[in-house]
Amino acid sequence: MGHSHDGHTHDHEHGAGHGHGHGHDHDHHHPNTELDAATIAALDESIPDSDLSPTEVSRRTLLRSAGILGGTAALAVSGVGAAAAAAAPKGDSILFKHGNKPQVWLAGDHHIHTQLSSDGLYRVIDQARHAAAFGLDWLVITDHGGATHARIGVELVNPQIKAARTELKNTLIFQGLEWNIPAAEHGTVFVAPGSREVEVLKQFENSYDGSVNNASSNSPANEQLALDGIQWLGQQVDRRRVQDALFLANHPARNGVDSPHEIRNWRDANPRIAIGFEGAPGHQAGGLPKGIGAAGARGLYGNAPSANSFPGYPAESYRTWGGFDWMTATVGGLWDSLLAEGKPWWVSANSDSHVNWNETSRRPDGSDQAQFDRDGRYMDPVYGNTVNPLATDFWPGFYSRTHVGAERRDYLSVMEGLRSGRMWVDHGMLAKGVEVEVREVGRKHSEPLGGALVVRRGRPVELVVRITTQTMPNWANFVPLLNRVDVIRGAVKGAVGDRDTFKAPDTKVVRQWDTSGKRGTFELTLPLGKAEEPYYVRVRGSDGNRSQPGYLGAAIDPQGPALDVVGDADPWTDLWFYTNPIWVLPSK
Amino acid sequence: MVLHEPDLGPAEQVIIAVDADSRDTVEAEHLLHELLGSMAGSVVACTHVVAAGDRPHLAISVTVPPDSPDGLAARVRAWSVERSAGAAITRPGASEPELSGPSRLVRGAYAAAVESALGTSGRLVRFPGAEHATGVLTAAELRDRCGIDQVEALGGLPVEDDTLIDTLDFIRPIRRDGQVVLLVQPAAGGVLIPFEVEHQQKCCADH
Repeated sequence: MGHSHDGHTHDHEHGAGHGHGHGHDHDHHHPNTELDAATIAALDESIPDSDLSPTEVSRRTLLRSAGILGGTAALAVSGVGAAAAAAAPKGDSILFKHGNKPQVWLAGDHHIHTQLSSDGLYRVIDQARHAAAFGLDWLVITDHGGATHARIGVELVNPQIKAARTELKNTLIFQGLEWNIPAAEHGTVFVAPGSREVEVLKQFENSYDGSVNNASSNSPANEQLALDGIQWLGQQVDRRRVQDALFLANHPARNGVDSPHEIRNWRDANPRIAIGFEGAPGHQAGGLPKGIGAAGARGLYGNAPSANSFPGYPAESYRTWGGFDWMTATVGGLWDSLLAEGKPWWVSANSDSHVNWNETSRRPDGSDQAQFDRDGRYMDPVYGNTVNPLATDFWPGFYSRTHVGAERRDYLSVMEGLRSGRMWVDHGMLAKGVEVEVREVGRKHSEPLGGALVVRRGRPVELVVRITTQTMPNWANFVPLLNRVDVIRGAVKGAVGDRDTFKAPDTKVVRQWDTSGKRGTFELTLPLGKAEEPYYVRVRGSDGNRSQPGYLGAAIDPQGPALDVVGDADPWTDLWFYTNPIWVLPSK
Repeated sequence: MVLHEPDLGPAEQVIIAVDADSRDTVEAEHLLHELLGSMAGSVVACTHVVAAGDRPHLAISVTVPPDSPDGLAARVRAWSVERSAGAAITRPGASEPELSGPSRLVRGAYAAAVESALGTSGRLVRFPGAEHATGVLTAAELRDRCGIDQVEALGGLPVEDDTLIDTLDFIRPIRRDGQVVLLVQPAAGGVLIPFEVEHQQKCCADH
């Protein structure tokens, strides 16, 4: 079933022997981006029929008899689309580095809403206390950017966060916001705590939030504003207004509006700041079946393309696969195409908690949109005397976890662990521990997740996956079983020519281990052969309940995550973990 | 009962396209409804993405037989002037289409008319056969009775003649390479449902 739906709009399917010299090249901001190259050629009467392909001739004939050919002047509107595409930042060519071994694994969630969001419910302490109880070590409060939040919310939430830090001594609570990325989706932006955390976030939001600045639609100027925002954050770190800042894109494939070139541009605008995207979105209760849940789309990934969507994305990209975003779930897909460039880009998993499944509280009477707009926050929740099975979210830590390997249990170490890609994610507590290393055979030195092993060309290399199976029941009160572990390997080819590519043709699943019945801590070792060309490996695991051949076919991924079923996607019966990659770089 | 409409090629039809800068499908379909009302007869109505420029949006196109009795073209002309929309009206065999409106929106209307004439893209809102596409149907019934050329499931899921599709009384097939394609996705109960469901989560609003 190796199907591929390439971008219909961007196909350049010229007929055989098509040799006229008129440039049909068009980038993604061409003024006539709706019409494909064959149609543009058919419309251009300065090209004689003899220079057209058969397809183009037949289109011209059709357009002529429909009485539509003579109006092409309408397409040449000056100014429209003439603005240059947002300049692609150059970025460093290859950003490899050694990773340090983590001293401690800290689980967290960088995407959490409160009563400071226009669609939120909870106090900060409600979210933080549940997160801690459900086993998280760190969390980021990310209320939506917007006019009210920029005016007052970003300040009002800070005392709540500080109070929660005092109350929960062992929990690291960051302040951030959910940025409406200009021309794109949402993303988490957060900073290290400090005396200027609010000041910097507020200035960022007022200057660069897509909603605050009416910059949501997909235009080159708005794309540039997003890059400016990322670079501005980097400058605040350079100037020590804040000690650190990070940006990760949220639910990237949900509406098809994060085009591949935008993601590459964010990364390259400042790779210290823009470090990754959600491999798995929140709202994981959205697909629970009728009777116990909302019976909608898992992750609330239920939309069709809009005018702002990247036209090359297939319909499949708008849905989750085994609860994961299509960009991450597709072996050889968009995420791999980023990794194949040899640049860091990491995945995380979060709750996106707004209102949680089976909630019994509600907003009090009188706490409505007008009250929110006036006061910058909803009033504290009250007991609601009922249960809400239609809410689509889980508490932070209840289902999704991002495990970060840190040197110490502190704020800056968590941020550095995230930046270094020492990170794996799981659903439903599928595994207790996952450690991945790559080393030269016979050597002690190894590289952890996110690292790059530099090894003499021709030396044998091996991958070691150390799994500790789950001993504790998860929050649905069963002990999940890790029944399969897969290794994915891809060649590192360097920067791509077409920044809208979302395929990595040299990436595939290279090993599947049946791990059913294994208990405790065990090692899986995979010889990777002699190091000749640069490559990366990453690891994925599953309870094995739901699989289908991957989006790019069984030869690439024989048993990938299955397309989630609308209204019948019980997240507890379809569990996966994903690790970030490790690179292997042969030297002379 | 003839279920398929007479197969007029687009070249024999009148195409009326309007770009009123609709932000989403709800707005674009509202515009179609406003222009068409409950107009009877053979009508094909589409929405088209206009992606160029600083604000991607949607245009609409309506294809009708040249002898259509009502004054749709006149109505569109008046409406477009009143709303400062772009309009493109084609006549079979004419040397050029009739274009009007602000240049930015004329462009979108013209592109929509081209897409409509070629059948290369666009999203169908009204089309001959749509009236039969209600309730649960087999893929064969959708093809035989409802003006659909092809039913295609996401993720490579197989679609056989007797595969059941719950239309949810809302189908918006797309045009691709001259074919009318209905994309479907798996849903609870082992049926397939249309990929595009009626109520979309508004982009960039909440969540």
